[in-house]
Amino acid sequence: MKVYEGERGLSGAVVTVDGKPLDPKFGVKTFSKMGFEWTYAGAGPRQLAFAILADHLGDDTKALELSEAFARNVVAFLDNAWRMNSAEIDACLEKNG
Amino acid sequence: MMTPRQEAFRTAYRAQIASLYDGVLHVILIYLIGGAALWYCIQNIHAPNALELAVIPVVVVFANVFEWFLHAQVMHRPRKGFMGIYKRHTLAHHQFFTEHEPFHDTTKDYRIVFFPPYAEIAFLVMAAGMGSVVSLIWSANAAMILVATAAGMYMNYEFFHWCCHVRDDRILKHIPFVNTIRRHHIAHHDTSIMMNKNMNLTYPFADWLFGTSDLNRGLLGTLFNGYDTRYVRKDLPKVRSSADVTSGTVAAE
Repeated sequence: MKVYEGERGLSGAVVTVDGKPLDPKFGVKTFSKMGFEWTYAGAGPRQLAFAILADHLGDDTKALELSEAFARNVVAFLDNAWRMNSAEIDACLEKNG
Repeated sequence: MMTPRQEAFRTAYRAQIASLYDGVLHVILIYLIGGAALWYCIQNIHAPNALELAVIPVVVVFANVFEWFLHAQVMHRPRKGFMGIYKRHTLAHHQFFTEHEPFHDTTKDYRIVFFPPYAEIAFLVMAAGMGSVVSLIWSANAAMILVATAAGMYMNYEFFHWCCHVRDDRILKHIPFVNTIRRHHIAHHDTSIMMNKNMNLTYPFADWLFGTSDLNRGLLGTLFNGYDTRYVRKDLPKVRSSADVTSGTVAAE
């Protein structure tokens, strides 16, 4: 079970998976060169949605396909500091498609 | 009551404020710069006509929309070339102040309340640039009125923003416009809506105009709302998966 955590602070809007930096997957698709953001709908949240799903699913193509809905339904509601695990992501994907 | 995370951020932020920093001096500098600009412009306005005086409300509206736009699209979005502004605001100011604790404690905290003085200089330079164009195509009076109004609006902004983050509201809660923006801005510090709602810092005109107010009211109601919470929209989003709570976490839906 992986744990994804995000936090805004003096170091930036930082996201980790099991304590290690989450790969933004810029090499596959760049929605926002400026990196991750959340709590709204936009390029930064879309990048985050894609990166989380790519890591969770292990499938970049599937992640890209699902990233728009995940950004709109999940990432847009993340707090200043947030935490989600693999089971919660699966539950969100099942609920939101 | 603030969360442990907010408390930790405040401690870390305060530790990095330069020991020589003086909040009162910071504010004096802002008002010396703005006051000097205002004084210079007023000295150079001679018998303005009605049309030239009409520049004042035009600049007030323009400044209001500009404040809204800058807050929404630059201070709350990571954009290339403007990351310093976003970091100082979303990643610092909004971690120092949240809906749980939106007030500062000492004048040392003015570091995170007031803009650095060079921001005012940059703003006045922009206003002077516009004034130069107005002077060429219209009149020196109109140009001076434009810059004077811009300087006034900047100082208005800094004062109103301070009013939002000062703890003691025994007098402020009775002052029209101030009480409105205080409720409006503290609501903006709710992390659920801070990236999208309540982007004005002086008068919530642009928020009303562009539908980004958390209130469901007309223009006059929005401007004179005061501390009233009866008209807060019922459909505002709520954050999930929060790790910023006093105990445990809130699971994702």
